[in-house]
Amino acid sequence: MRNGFSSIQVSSLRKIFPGPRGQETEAVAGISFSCKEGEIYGLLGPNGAGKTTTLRILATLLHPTSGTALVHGFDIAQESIQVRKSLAFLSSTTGLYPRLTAREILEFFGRLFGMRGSALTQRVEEVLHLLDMDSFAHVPCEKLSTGMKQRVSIGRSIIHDPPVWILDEPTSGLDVLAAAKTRDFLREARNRGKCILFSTHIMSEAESLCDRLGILHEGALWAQGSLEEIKEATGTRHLEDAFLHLIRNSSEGEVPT
Amino acid sequence: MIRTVGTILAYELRSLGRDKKALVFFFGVPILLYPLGFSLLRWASHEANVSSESSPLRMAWNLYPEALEDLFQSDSRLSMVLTEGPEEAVRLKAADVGLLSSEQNPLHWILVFDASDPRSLRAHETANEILERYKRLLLHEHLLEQSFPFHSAAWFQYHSHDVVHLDRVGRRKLADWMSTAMVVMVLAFGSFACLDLFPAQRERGIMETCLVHPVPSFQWVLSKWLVCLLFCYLGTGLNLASLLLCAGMGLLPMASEPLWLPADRILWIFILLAPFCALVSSVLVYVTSLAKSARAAQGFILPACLGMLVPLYLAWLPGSNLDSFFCVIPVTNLSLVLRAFLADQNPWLPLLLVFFSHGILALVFLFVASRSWTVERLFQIPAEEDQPRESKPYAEGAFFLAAGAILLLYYLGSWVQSRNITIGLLFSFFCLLLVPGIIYAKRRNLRFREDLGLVRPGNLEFLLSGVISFPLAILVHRVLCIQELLLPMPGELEESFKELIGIHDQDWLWKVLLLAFLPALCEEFFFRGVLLRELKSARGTGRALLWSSLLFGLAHLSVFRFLPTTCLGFFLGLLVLSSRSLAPAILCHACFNALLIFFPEWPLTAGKTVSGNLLACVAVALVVGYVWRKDRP
Repeated sequence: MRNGFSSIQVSSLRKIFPGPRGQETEAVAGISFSCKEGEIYGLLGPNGAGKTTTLRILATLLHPTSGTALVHGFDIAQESIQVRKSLAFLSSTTGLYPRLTAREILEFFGRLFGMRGSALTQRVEEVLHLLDMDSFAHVPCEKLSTGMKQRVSIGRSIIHDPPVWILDEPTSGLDVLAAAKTRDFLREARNRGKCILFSTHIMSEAESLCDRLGILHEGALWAQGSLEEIKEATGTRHLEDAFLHLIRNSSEGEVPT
Repeated sequence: MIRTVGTILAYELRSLGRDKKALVFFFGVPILLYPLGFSLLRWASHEANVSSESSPLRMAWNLYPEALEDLFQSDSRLSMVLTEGPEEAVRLKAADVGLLSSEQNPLHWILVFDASDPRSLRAHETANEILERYKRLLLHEHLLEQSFPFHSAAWFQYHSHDVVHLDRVGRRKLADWMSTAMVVMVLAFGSFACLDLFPAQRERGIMETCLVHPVPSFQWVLSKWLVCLLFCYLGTGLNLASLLLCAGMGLLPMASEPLWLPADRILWIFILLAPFCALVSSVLVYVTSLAKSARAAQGFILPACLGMLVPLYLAWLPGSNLDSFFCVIPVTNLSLVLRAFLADQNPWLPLLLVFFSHGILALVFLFVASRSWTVERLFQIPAEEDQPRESKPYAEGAFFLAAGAILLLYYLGSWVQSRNITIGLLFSFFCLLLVPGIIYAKRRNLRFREDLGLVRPGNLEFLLSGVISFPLAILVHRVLCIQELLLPMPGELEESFKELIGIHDQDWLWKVLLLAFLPALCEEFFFRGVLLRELKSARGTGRALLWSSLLFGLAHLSVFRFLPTTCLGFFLGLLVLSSRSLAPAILCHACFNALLIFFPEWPLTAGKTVSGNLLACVAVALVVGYVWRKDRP
């Protein structure tokens, strides 16, 4: 790591989308936060809050209108290839080749990260075993269930064992068991020192998983800190109450803290 | 870079190759469809007894066998073959190899010999001399004007100066035919590949997955272009090989004899395929990378494909040769060089220009595609705008559909009809109007009942629609009279039209089905169902009615029938709009056609008086008024 302690450093990040008739939409309104090694940072917000846009900017899929962000010490605007090499990106919209098998998917994307030969084979086997995919490794992705596909997607994103993980609603569409397994996997990764930034709108998941939280609404970060700090700041006992309190305040015209 | 591009190429090809549709295209069509289809076509041609009689020389032989036999028997070289037999003639060196054939028809000996064989060139000269004398005889007897069909005489005059045998004629036709087949196949395979590689991957989120990997956009575009290129080349190559095999077996419709091409000519065909595949792939990569969805991409691909057919047809124009002008036009030069190769020429400079022009254009498109295919551009549109826009009006689609159908009717439909009128009509109505209309409607998610008017109408208006065809015939005939004042129909065309509507060897039921009901069904579905609906939602009722009528008039492919058919289309459109059902228009159209078939003189006699015309106008106005009033909200 080149730049000290924080694996993700975001400062005054802003993204404006041009509209079809000249009007502009501000999807991200100058947010700043950071995420350390061995930490899970949760971006919590309702639909359309700007979570996915923020994560896509960090994954270099979108260019920020203004502001900067460093991922593993690399600038997202200037060093996009280095950033991509340092992170695992998974979102609900990232898909898989339907006619390739799980093993082929892992091999293909491993090769794109420059892995070759026995190192690749060994890593593919390791990921297949880690995510319990051995039983369906030879099945084309179009024939897999949603949970299986999600495991393949996670495997695909971490095939090169990156230090930073950016996951956009990783449990979306999964049943209770698959979601619990995914959460366990994320905790385990955190314990291995990975920096995990993930977005969700499921309160219980954020409560049980995140070390720190940022509550995002209409592109702005309304609160951030540990779970206890947020509850204390809002004077509530549950995260859901804190979330609703902040969202209501935002609609009454208060400014983010 | 090479390693990354190779990896993407390998896995994308693996993914694409596992598509079942690709397997059908690759293997099912060339192995099953071509041999079976061409065998059936050939069988149909034999049934109609037209294929072997299409050559003007053979027709002349059938018409005046005695005169021609005298002519050939007076030739010393041929008389030797006739009296002593081919083997003896060879032994005595009295005849050229090119004049030999197993058939006992001297005319056939002239027509069949291998132009690639240098020994045959001498025979070619002999044949030319005989042919000149033969032509003089024909002119003397006024055969060209009196007994030959118009197109055959023109063909004879055009080709006889340099092409006198079936092999060379077959090769020329094969070259034209093959360049079209090549263009269509490459476009089909390229579109198939590009739709899967760009819009489909974008819809499935695969593109987003790919773009978070440390591979620059240009390498993605380059890899996908190579995938498309290989897919096009392999798919088209397999299909062309199958076609060449069919030509060798004598199954192709343009040559009644087996037409084996030498190996070096086949090699050149496959070499020529490469630059064309490169160009088409780059154009399609660019076009499909612009699309937000597979459905939108299909809307882009159709005009691109039609646009590429235009330079192909340039090569077919009389007088188009491999000169400095045509040599630099992509696709046109490909077709011309292919023709030259099949005529045993080796045009090296034009070949280089083919590679150069196609290569430059391919690079330009590839460069533009990689510039426009940026991550930011792909994700700047909000997700809801990526949804299929099937409910939105789309007039351009209707125009492209109509243009495609009219072009196909003109080139393909007319050609099949000239071979066999019954099969040609069935083919034109079903394959060029009904099926494309259904495919278009399915693609656009048009509802057959609500949008296309496939609903049961009221009993009375259905009955009235049938009755109204009689006064309508009078009015349309009046319009025809007005058009004839401005643009009189040539006599032979009128005769051929009368011949068409009175196919003598068919029974009345078959006539009704083939000439009255089938065109009514297919044309109404296409013009009043699909086109009128699409244009109405995009351009409003009035313009839609006008455009659909004009397109209906154009689709009849005759300037002499344009005005009456347009008027008929206008009225039928009015009937569909007022009744909101296709059924009255289908019945009215069918009755109208049946009337022209069985009582062709009736509109003429009924429309002679002023009162007859006036009554017809009133009747039509009353029915339209009734139907319109009844269904108005």
